Amino acid sequence: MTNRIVIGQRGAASGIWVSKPGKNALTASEDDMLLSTTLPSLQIVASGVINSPSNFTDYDRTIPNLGFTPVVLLSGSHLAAYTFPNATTLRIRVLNNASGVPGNAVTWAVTNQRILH
Amino acid sequence: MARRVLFDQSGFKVSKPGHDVLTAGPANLQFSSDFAQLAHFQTGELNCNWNESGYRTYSFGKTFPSPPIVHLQMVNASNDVHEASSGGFLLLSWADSYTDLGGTTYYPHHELYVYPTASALMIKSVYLDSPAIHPPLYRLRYTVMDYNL
Repeated sequence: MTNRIVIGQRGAASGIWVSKPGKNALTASEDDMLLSTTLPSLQIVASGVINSPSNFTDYDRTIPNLGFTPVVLLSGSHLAAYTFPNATTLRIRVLNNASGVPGNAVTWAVTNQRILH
Repeated sequence: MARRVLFDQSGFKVSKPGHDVLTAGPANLQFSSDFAQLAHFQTGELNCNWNESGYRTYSFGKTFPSPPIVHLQMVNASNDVHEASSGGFLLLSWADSYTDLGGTTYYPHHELYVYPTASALMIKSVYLDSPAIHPPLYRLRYTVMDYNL
């Protein structure tokens, strides 16, 4: 049976790897990995929802101080934008739902990825 | 050599090369079990060639706590994939050429409005030209992401 999980040392690198079925996780290339920490994983640090937002209104949310400016994912019923007034405040600017859509809610999710590396 | 992998009762972390995993902050971690993992929930394609003023509903088959993060693309009749947006309320607007049997070429203007609710994609498709000319076939490709915090 093939070794499919490595936790710790793999060659000169350290991390965790899970290989595709039939591939040896100790020797497989990165292309044959289902999970690898060689590159940073896209993860969600904090998230929330703004229910029934008003058009053209700012909503401030407190987030963890990550030490960098993170990428934020937005979803939902409105056009929206975001900025960071300071390290622990995410400001979501809800613009509009020009077509008068029902089901008003905007989801926000702060990732662990910085905007500039 | 820096310690790069932590695996204990507190969870699992991997730091960037050269950073001690015991002291590294979020900027220097490749992975942390303190954060949620984005998971692929569903991908599909929908034909959106209709002309209606109201929204159609395409259920995810699951109700999320809030509208999920979605990734949307437009795929045209030649299977070219056009990146649309990373979610939120989406408006796609374009005019693809169409030539009728008489050799007359039209540029029908087509608008597509898409947004997710907690349980469905809401889609409105309208032709703005008058008379409304059926534009070339295209599809909306969507991917729904899930995570838990």
